[in-house]
Amino acid sequence: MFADLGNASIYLALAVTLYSIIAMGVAQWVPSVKSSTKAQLISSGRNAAIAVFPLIVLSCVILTLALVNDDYSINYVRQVTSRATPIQFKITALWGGQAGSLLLWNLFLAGFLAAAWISKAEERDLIPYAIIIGGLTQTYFLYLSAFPENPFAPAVSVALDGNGLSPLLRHPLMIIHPPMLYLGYTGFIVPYCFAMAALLAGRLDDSWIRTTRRWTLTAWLFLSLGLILGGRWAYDVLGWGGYWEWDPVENVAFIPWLTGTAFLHSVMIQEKRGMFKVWNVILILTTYLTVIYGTFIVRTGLLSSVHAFAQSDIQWGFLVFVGFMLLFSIGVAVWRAPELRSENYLESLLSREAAFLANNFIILAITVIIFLFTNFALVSEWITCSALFSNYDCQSYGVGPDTYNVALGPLFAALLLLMGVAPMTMWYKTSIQRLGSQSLWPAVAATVFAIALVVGGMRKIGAVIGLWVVAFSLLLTLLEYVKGAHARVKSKQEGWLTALGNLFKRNQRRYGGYLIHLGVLVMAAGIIGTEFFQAEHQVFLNVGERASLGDYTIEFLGTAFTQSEDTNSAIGTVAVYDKDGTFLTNLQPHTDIFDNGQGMTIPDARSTIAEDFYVILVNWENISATSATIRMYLNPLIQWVWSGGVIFIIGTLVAAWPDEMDEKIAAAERRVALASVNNR
Amino acid sequence: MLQKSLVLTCTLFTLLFAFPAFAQTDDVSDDDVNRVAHELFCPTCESIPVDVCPTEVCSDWRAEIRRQLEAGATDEEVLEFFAARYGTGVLANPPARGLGSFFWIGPIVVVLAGLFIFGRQMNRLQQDSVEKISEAPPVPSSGDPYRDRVEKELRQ
Repeated sequence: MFADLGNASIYLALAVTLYSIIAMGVAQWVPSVKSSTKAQLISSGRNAAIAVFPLIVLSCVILTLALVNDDYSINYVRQVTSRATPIQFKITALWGGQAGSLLLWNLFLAGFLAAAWISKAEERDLIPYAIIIGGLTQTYFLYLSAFPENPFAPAVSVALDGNGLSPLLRHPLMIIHPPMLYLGYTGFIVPYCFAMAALLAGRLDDSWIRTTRRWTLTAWLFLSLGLILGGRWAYDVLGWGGYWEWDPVENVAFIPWLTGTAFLHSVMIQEKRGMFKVWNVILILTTYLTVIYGTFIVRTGLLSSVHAFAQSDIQWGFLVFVGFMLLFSIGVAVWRAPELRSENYLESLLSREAAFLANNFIILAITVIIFLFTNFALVSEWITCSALFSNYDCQSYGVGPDTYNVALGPLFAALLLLMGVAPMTMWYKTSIQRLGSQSLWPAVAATVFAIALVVGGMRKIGAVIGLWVVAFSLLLTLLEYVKGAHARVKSKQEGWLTALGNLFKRNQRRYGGYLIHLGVLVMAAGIIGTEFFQAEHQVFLNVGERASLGDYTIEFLGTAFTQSEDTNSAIGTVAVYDKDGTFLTNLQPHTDIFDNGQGMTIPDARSTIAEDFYVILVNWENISATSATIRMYLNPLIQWVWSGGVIFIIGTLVAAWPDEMDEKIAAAERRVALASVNNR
Repeated sequence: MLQKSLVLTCTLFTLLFAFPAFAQTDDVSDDDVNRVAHELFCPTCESIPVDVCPTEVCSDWRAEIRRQLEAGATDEEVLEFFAARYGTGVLANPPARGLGSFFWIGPIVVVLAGLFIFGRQMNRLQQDSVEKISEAPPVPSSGDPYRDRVEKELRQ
């Protein structure tokens, strides 16, 4: 019963999406349609496009009910839950497997699109085209949910119990991390739809950018949150001692974030100076395509094997879909390119425009390198397995964090440097004297800091350079606030705190943006600290024995064993002492082994602002519990990564929060658009 | 007498062979094993280094690394052993030879190409400005004077 209802709502959603595309297509492109019919078609198509969302909500509710009620006649329910699964995990099992994740993806996309169609009703001439573009993407993903990845597909045999949710997905961070990523992914589809719509409609002004700015920032916010939470989850649960491994699955989430970041910066040049119009279309198109690509890498395990890829029907369908969207988008962009001429020219290499362009190039270089590295596993397997290289062993070349760090470190450093310097530049032209005088003292201070580091014993040149850049850019960014507040204090006779608050109020986007920069710089300090100075030590200890790493000494106190519904846990206890022998705390790293054989190594850590002392229970003596193998990590400045992340998110919220100025501009634009439509 | 010398010889032999072996065992710590294991990708966990991968296969690989280190192999020799047996693909940081050189040449090519395109673009944008300075820059138009005015004001 559940299955039939759920299926019906998915099929209906697919039919309604197709109807909205056809209605809009007929209204826009069939010349013989009367204008009254056209208006009716548009309004009906728009209603249909909005109705997709409640239909998918319904199918999600039905699937959730099936999960909660242990309906094991449905294959998906059987895969991701069991009778013993606690109720909250039965609900989150909605995205605990392939088919459910795709349904959630559909839900978010439909939600974003419906919200856009409702709130942007004023964009009368863009909406029909945007609905067609959004509808194409929704159609493809609904097709996946309706047919090859149907979450309501019946189970092949009768079963009284299910397999249970993968233990790795039972952690609270892992429960919110995938929805955040999907929200980020699907959110970026809105600006893409409006960009394409603007091209199709021939509305080549900047209004599509202003219309979608908040959508872009929202998508970016969720994607950032997804990435940060994913890193935190890896740190808290995987027991690698790290937070980012340059794993293909991580990389494909990072790539759209990077191109989205480039887009968020370069649209500012178009808004201020009317330049780089084609470029911005290319950036949002790339972001869209990498979102689709990323979804599929994660959903299909494409990068793990070429052979699995060749055998599956979905994936060829995916290539056809992506190929179509790519050719279609490029075709439209090329068709309109002559009309997207830059309205202005670059006056100087020392200008904000040039700085943004440099930012874009560095970000894109980073993106291309990550993309190449990630996909080389696939390419190399294809090459080595082909007849051409028959004397080679058939294998794929992956690459670990060290190689990524070497290849990308200098580019990230350049980006951080630009982050500090670019806000000092002016539109059109900046004099070198101005740049020099403003950056002199921060440069001196950063250099003193770097010398102090070297004198203090730091011998890793990469770390010293990295920290110099961070200190320099951090000071410059803070100075932006000081300068802004100072101007207000002098001209408006405000107190410093009021002035600072008013800065944010008057220009949320700018000062929120600097807050994001501060967050990134704090994170960068943390990343440099951990990447360059992480230390580790693994040791076998009997009860009462001690081992040391850095200034910390541990004493192994014993192992305890607990049992719950479907989990056996081994919990090690170590006492931690500082270098003077003063007791600091007890840490309890543990390993959970689940009934299905999967295991999870949960570390425990003592965190300070300077470093984390992070302990993992690697192995233990089962019977007597009198000995264990413990792995200790010293992660310097790791807490800076998380605090930087918090600042980053706050900054994004400030920048994305609706503000009066923007509302006024949007209202003015709406009036203009309406006037132009009425004049026709 | 004979018995005594026999015992002595045996003891000497035992010392001669057993002691160095014992000393070697002592030399190889878990940290040494992890250091080498970190440079290898586990075949059963996707792109996770062998030192942190919890599967049985990786546990066997760690045991093999320990065995070879105890036998006196250097880190490089152990890595070469695995690369020869399972293919260069198992190395987390492939050496710059064969297909592995891609990871060293690729980024350099990308950065150089980026610099080249960036430089050309800058040059073009600037030359345009020199050329166009005499003729009035084309004013973009949406075909609606009112909208153009608002667009212009918005940009200021």
